[in-house]
Amino acid sequence: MDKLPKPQIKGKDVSLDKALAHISKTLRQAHHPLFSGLAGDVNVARAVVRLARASRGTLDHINTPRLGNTRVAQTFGWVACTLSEAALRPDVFVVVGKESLSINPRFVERILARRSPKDAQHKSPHLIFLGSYKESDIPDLLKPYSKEIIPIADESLFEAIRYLNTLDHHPPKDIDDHNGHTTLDDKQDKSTKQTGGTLSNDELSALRHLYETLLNAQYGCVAFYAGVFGEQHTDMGALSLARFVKSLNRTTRCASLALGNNLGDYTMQSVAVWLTGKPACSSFSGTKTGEVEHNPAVFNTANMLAQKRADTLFWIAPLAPLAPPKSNLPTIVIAHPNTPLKKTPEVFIPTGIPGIDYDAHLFRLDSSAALRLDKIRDSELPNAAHLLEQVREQYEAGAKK
Amino acid sequence: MTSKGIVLKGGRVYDPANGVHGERRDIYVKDGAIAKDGTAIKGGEEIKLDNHIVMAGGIDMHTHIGGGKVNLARLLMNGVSESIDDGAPPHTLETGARYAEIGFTACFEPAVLPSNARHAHMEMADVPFVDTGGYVMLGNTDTLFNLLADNASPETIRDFVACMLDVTQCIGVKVVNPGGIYAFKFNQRKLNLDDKSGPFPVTPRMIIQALSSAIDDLGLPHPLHVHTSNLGVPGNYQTTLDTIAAAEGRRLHLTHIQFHSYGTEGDRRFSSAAAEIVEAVKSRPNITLDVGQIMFGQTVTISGDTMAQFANHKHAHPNRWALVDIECEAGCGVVPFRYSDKHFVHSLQWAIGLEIFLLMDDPWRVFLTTDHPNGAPFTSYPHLIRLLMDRSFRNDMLTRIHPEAAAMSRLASIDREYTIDEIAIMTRAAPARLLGLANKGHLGVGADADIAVYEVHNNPETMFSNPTYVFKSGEKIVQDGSVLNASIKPSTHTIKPEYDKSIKKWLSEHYDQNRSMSFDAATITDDEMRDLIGTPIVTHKCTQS
Repeated sequence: MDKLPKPQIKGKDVSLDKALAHISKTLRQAHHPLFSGLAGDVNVARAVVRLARASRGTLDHINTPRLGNTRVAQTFGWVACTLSEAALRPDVFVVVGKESLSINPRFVERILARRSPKDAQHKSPHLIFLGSYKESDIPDLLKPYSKEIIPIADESLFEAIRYLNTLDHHPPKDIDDHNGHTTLDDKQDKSTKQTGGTLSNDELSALRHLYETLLNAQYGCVAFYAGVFGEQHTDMGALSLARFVKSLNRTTRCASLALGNNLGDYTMQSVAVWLTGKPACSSFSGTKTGEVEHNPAVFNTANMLAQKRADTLFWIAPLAPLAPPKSNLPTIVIAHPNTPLKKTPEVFIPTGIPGIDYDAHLFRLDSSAALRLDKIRDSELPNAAHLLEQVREQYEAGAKK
Repeated sequence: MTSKGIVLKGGRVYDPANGVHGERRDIYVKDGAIAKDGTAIKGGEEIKLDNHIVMAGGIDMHTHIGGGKVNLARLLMNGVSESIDDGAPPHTLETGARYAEIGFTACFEPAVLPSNARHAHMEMADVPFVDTGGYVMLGNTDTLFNLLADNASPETIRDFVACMLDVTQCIGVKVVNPGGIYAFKFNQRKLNLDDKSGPFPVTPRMIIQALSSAIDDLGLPHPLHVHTSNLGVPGNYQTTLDTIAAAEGRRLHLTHIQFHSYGTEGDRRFSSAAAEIVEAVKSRPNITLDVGQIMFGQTVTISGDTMAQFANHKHAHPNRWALVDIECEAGCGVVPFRYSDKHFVHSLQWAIGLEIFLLMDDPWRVFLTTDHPNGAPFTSYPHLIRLLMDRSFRNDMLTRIHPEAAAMSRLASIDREYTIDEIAIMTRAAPARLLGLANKGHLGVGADADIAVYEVHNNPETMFSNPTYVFKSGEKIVQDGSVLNASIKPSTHTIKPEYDKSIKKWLSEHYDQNRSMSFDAATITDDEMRDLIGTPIVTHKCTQS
């Protein structure tokens, strides 16, 4: 960075103190602040949750629509494994959907190709690619591996997973929402059981072969990015897959590995859950102080803006240059210095980048471990977590007056 | 506040570690610690405590309060319950507040996985009011298995244990179903004491012996913390007895022993073996216990024992559960559960826990736990204390459980009632001693001013539910049962025995070959704890008391 970018109020350079004071004042005038973006490290997540709690705000991460596994965790559970297990244990490894292979840049190298086919001690897994794969889609690194493609159009993946569930004669009981009702489109699930849906006979036969292979594996691993099931079926696809993997464990071992996770989504999720009991996409705007409500249908940013449920937008994103959503609300941006801004916000404080400008923690994609990212340069850009803490202190001091 | 000091005047003081058993004493607090007398406290606050009892702050030595499995349980219990009293695992802020509200000021998370230690400490750093610490789980790590398979020397195992304590910032070592979690990854559904785990020539007995030897040799205050094999299986008391024998005189702490004290008598092939367990433990001073009492109601079970949790998923209530195989070193299983007093097995589990409490005649060797939240939430401690202190209340409760279970239990024939002094031992003095916390669990001069003050009441549940005051590091955090907005910064308790650092080279190579992160990345430094995770550490001495 040639020149240190300065905090700005309405596009004009100001001191950091002035910018913070203006933010605190704006927050005090807000009735319903929306804290969105939330692409940060653990301490940014901690600070933003505390600030939202103090100001009765709403929290939503930019990746909320793609976090298909949250709903599964809340209603059904899973049998899963972490990265080291996935890299070293499976004798059969299934990758569901084409996008799953590329969503995490080093997945192929670090997980699928971790054991060399030449390694006698650690036998490498048999790889199965389920989805709209062609031979040419398989990375060169995986050429020497025992592998096969089960070509199913990505649009049919949801149906394919539901079909796999019908092959198990003793599936786990239907999903229970604790009130005795089955949830999440169970009716549709049953119709597939009877018809086999629109899959061709060849496809059905290939899926039966996949089922047999996993049933006879010592330890199968099924990796998937929930986004491959399409927007309409993100939750149900992830859930149907979780159900299938669970059922295999009756006689053998099999585990799922959910892929995706970027822009600190699992970081925000983990922190929000331990500090509030609920994932982000939640709000403290209820009547009781400190009480949080989680409702992705209501508290997602698009809906909050469309329904005019928020009156001030806080765009918090030090991790990457992400554009804030279009809105006419007074907007406070505490974010990456290169954040693209089409409209001049009320306040913009360019921040340091976690793990580059300052030491930070981020949760790994399997959310089993938080990693320490040591800074790689000296920077005078402020840490967004410290800024948010200062805003909270000023806000609370002002609120007491 | 502390700057000027506080005098707690005229309360009945229960400080069994210092031989004070309910005598009226004045307690002086200055600079976060117990002061010798009032000379340094001029103009300080004087609090009259007629009709009150005064104890050190409570210490929960086994409670699942932080880390990946707890966070997963919070998600999984979505929509089932919103309240800790009805089985929802509390968020960290509530955990601290609710502990403070019953007079507890230190809590220890018993299941810290090496790869998840950083996360566990982050959560615990966000638990207000109470000090924390963790036990690192080593009994299913491929690292230990490789060392054992290669016949590593006792010195090497010792270095390994000390190093893992160091890099995970823990204060104790735990094994959960020794070898069983690893074996489950190879589809073994049961593992007895001399069965081999997966492809390794390693058995539960070898794991117990190697780790308990290392811990005794290092002089760690806390013995090997053992969740024995075959949890919940009828007849498992024999495994427990075999495990005690396998220790060959070395120290073991057997945790949530209630779940490991089951016989196979009676028509239903499920019975209490509390008497057999207590008999074996009584004559062996190397063994300590915590109970893991169950209470009736909704809860969620959180355990590293994937083998047992997979078997238990059939009883999940509601029907949702999660299991994770973790990093070639551990696992976790989360299964919601509802204990019913109309259910024979649950009723007998309740009775077995109480039998163990009451038959164990040495409160220094049996600890008050519900294995929160597995048996019940920790908020049920006042109720549990009443069950122990009030025989007629206990017998009333006994009439409400499943009649066959009541008939099979010897609970009705046990007259014993715990005294306040014994409660102070089992919840304060004894856990502090067993963890090597020299400045906690007592009110001697120089001790941390972690203090609970309760108004005397003939119902112990009422008394222990509503402390009049709680002080943490000399600061008032609770008054008249309500948590105050205090600014104290609790600490994390650790232990760091000396070790030969060359073990790190071996671990680094092992992690490079067998893990998805480097050993260096897995290491948590002291500075990181303070600056980034946000909790200062207190490091204890390595001498057994």
